[in-house]
Amino acid sequence: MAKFLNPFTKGVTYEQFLKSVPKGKKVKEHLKGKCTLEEIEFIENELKQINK
Amino acid sequence: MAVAYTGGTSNQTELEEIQQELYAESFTIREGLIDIQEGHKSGADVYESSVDVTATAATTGAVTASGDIDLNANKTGVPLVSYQYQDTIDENALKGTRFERSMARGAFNIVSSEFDQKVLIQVAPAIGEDVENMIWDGATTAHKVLIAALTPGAGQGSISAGAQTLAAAMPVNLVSSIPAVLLENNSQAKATPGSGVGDYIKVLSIVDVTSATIAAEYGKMYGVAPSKTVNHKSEPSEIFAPLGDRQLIKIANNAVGAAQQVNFLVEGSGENETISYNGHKINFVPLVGFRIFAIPSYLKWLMDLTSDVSTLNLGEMANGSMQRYIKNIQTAAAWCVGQKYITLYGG
Repeated sequence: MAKFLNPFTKGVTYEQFLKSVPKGKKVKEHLKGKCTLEEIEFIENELKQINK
Repeated sequence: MAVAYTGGTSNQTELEEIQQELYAESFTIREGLIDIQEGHKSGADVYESSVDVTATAATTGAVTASGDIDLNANKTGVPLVSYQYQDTIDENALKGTRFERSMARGAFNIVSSEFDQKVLIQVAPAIGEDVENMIWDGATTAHKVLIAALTPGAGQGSISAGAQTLAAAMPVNLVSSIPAVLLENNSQAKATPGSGVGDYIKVLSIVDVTSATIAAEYGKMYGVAPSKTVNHKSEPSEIFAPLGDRQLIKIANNAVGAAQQVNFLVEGSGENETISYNGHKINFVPLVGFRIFAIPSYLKWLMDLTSDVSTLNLGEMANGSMQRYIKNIQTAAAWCVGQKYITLYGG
């Protein structure tokens, strides 16, 4: 199993983080239990803005 | 006897006062909320320095080159931009209005002294408001491109996607604002010198700031700020916040019942009102989306002359023209120093 890449770690880009999310898994599910609900919402909101 | 009259009627009185537009006050330059530096015509070199020291076990021998005292200095050139507000004024359109009464006799004279005193006088405050907005919001087209090109990430050292969205929505100005410069600059004093993301401290995992969340969001900003900054007594750090935060703070402070938590200190009222958070003064300025927690002098607005903001050159046009010209010209640039000590909420 690949090591979890925390998106809040200094130097981690969203591109690197998204690549680390297993195929078919939602970001929300991937971060569940590893980040707080508020942090997950923040990341989701950030990714929405990147994809605009 | 019946009175017969033909020829129409007209109002015989008028309100003396002409209601003027309300202009946001330009506190930043007038009150020196940040470091206003004068005397720069086209560009200025900004120097930063630091010394790192390491203690080692004492010896009695001769001092040798040890690298225990590391002296650093660097220079960044900051170009200033000149911009102007100018137009011509043709007061011929004022004939037949109340302003005609204050025109001197003689067909050549169409300048209304009342128009000067009651309408033209608003040019200076309107420019002041525009400059105030320029200091805190907006970026040049080129600067917007540089900010958009940064690689976003959630951690420290990366710009957030939210910040890039805010920067993209900034008005295009001739001079980049303080937040734009914080986000991206070419300072030689950064950890990675040269063009790229600023060295600011980012507030991680933020939410929309509302009256319900403002206390918690300010808490995040305060919590992540470097303790050196928080403890800097000789020039205490201050918060620079959007104008609307004043309302959100008061709504939050004045919640009734169990929800009430007074997190902000509001002292005085009107012109003398000061609002602070954990002892740090909050300055309400036209920031959009961003909040800054910093030692004020670390934020800089470089100018040729501060009075340029309110200096209007007004005169008659040449060659027999009955029109007048009005012109204001300024030179400025935003800059920041000690970036690693500046906390940028939304950055």
